[in-house]
Amino acid sequence: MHPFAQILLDGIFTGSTYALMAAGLALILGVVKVVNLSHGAFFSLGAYIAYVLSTKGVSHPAAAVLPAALIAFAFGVFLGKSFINPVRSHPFSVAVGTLGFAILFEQAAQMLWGPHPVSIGADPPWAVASGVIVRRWGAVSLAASAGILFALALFLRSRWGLPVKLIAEEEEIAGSVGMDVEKIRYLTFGFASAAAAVAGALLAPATSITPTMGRVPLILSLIVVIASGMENVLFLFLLAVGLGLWSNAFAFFLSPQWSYVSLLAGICLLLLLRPSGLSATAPGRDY
Amino acid sequence: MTPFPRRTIGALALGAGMLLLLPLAGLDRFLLDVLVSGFLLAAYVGSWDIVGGVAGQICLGHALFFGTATYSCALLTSLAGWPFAAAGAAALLLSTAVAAVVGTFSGRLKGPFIALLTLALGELAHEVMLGQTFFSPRGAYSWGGEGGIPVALPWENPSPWASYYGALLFLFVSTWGMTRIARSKEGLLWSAISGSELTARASGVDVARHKRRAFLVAGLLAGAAGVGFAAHVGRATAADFSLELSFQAATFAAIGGRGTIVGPVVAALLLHTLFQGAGIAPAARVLLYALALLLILRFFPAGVAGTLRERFRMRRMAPGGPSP
Amino acid sequence: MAFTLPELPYDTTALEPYLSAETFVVVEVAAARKPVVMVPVAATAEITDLVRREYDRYRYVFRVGYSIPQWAEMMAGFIGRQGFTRYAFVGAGIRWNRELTRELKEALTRHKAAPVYEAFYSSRNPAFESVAVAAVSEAPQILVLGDPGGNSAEFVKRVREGGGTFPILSVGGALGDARIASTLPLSAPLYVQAAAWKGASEAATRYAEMFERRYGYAPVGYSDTLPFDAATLLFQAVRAAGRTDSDAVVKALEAGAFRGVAGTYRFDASHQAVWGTPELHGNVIRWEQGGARIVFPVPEKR
Repeated sequence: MHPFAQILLDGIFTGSTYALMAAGLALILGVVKVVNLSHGAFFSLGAYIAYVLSTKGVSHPAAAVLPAALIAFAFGVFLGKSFINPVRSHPFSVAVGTLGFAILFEQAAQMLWGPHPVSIGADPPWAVASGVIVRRWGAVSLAASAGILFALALFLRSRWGLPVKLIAEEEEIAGSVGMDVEKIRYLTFGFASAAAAVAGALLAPATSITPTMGRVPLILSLIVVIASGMENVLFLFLLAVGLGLWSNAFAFFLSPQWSYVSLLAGICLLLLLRPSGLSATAPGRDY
Repeated sequence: MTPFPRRTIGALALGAGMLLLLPLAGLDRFLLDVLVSGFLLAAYVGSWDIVGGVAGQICLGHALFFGTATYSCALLTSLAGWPFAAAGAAALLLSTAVAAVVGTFSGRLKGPFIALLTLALGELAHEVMLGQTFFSPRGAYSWGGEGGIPVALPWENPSPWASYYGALLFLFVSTWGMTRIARSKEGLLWSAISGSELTARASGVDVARHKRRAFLVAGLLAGAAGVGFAAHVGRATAADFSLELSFQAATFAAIGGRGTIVGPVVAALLLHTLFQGAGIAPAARVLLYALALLLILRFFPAGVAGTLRERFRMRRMAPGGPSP
Repeated sequence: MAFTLPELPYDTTALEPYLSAETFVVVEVAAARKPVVMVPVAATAEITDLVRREYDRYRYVFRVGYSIPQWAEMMAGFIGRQGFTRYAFVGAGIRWNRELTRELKEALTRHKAAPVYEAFYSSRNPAFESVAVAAVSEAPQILVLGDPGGNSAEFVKRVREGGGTFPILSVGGALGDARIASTLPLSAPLYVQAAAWKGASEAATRYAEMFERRYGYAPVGYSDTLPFDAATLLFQAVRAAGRTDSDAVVKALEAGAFRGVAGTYRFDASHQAVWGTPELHGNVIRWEQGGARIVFPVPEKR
């Protein structure tokens, strides 16, 4: 047992979980220009779908990925079309509205599945390499977040990503060259929500599932997105992993009780030292 | 800011009158209690609107100021043995001081980062108070953590009417004060900063200083609401710092109309009373609240008061013309 | 909604608050309006201390659930009986767990056991991996898990994933729920301390079957059993007093012995139910494939 190496690996895994959610959040913030406070709810939605499938006897989480993605995409598009697009002239109200949707989902989940935690059976770890245990669900979240972020980066650089990038940077121009901005907005919202749900479905066996499980991951990924800026996907991933590492290391070497506090304090310190955010390449946006 | 149309002032006066007379109508003690906490909540939400609405600095950790006040009251009275009046005054000072610090840091930061900073600070305070225990001078147990800390109050069984009118007076005075500040020269500068910080700075406004002032006022009033809450409930709990409470301020302000002061105050009072007071089952209550939130914002994107104000302005600008 | 007072319908005879924070507010209401308050769980000594110090004002408050020292003693009895000398304590960073750690240490010193590792994780963003790794590396003979919430299930998974083969004793709550326990790895023993369990006595079995018929799942250990007993006791006390007048009910509760699911309840001078007697002792169960088995104390054969 090598505690140091174990903590390092676990920290990377934890951080990649934040990165998974942060990716979708960054996409929504960049393209739809909305702080999506319902992102955590979509994450929980994916987890609950995995749970429902497991109660019906289908316990392989990969099976939950497709239904979670589809259902979340449908909900996301619905939310985008019915609420986010019409209210977009008031971004603050949109953000509060997404919070309302999150509350709605949490309450619905509580009424459907109860406020008590539920759980899916977890399988043993994949590998034990020279005393370091590679947790199955940690590896899954690392692979998934790296994969999703890589796919996102590729997409944005590709031909199909161009309209999305244009809308993110110059929405008025995009509209005036004939792009269906509204459609791309709600589709993006749907895709990002689907990504959150997929994350939830994949990670469900590792955690206990409660209606409010998405809250703290939302806060952490919000922190990652705002602090890192939305320009650089790699930087977002690195920051998320960095937070996970810090949290784990602090908990192991210093005090597990205050690891969350140290994380938050670290963020505050970073903001004070670098008031314009952390990403050195972020252009000076007048918010 | 345009003055309110006469109809609105009339409606508000009517509402105020009703509130004054309500206890005389023989209202149940439970409902009186709900209204007292509603008044305090409304004042708290109004204080958010000062910094988040008028000044446009989105604060996602407003409960920080509220909780500082409640915990100060609790700690000073229970651990240090101070009389409640002195503890309350100190609590006000402390929450204002905290707001000053937050305001100073916000001077250099741009919008989303202020939201992030306040969010992180609120969560930090919540987490610290949840985990931190204080040895009680009385017994083998400790105070703090999830059980909270009691507030040593000078009265045993307060008259519900005293609490009611005290809280109502506080709400009237603070709302009046907030609307006056919002319409003063200072408030005008805040609105300018809210509109475009760059333009304000280019016009020679010391943006950082005025942002700090906005936070100061907001922190003072939120702290005052906290002192009232400590006096009413008699206990400070970690929930006073919670994310839910911080978000509640922003949410009610959005529903009421960010920047209108009166909108958020009325929205908070109405919704709180409705959902707590009417005998709706707890599960249905939250569901209805979330639905109401979504529907109201969908059809009144700037909040109820905000949207009405926009429409009123439109109508004023084009008399006799088609309203949009 | 965060800015709420607990539901306080003022004209009822009895109230049953659950969480510590709401209990305190309700206790103050009881002092003012005098309904009898039967506290099912909130275990902090602060409540009984109020009764002891200011009897006249707080005499309407009774606690049915075990106090923290009683809780510690019941678990220590089990651990001592197994002959363990090295234990670890892991819990959520809440006040209740801190006090429990202290009490448990004292109780276990009498059973010649000492802690090799004590840690608390944040309840909102728990650092499971670090705690699990640290706990495993200290090689305790048993780990006491003081978290009643959902995080405890996650912690158990992490410990087992990380190669921890020591038995885990949980204080109850989420790990007393069969639906959760059935998803947990049983590569090593998982014990749960409960107020009562099906098979411990006729009353407990009857209650468990009735509960399961009604709600579709088995009662969870303390969070279902104790509130049920609290209500039962109140009814019995009212019947014994002959009237619903609070003072009469209080006298009846102080004087009498009342049968609940978990056993026979008697209250001491600070209105705390006396746990740890042959009549009221709780159980420790062990999760196995397909259900739970009572391991401590071994139930009498009828």
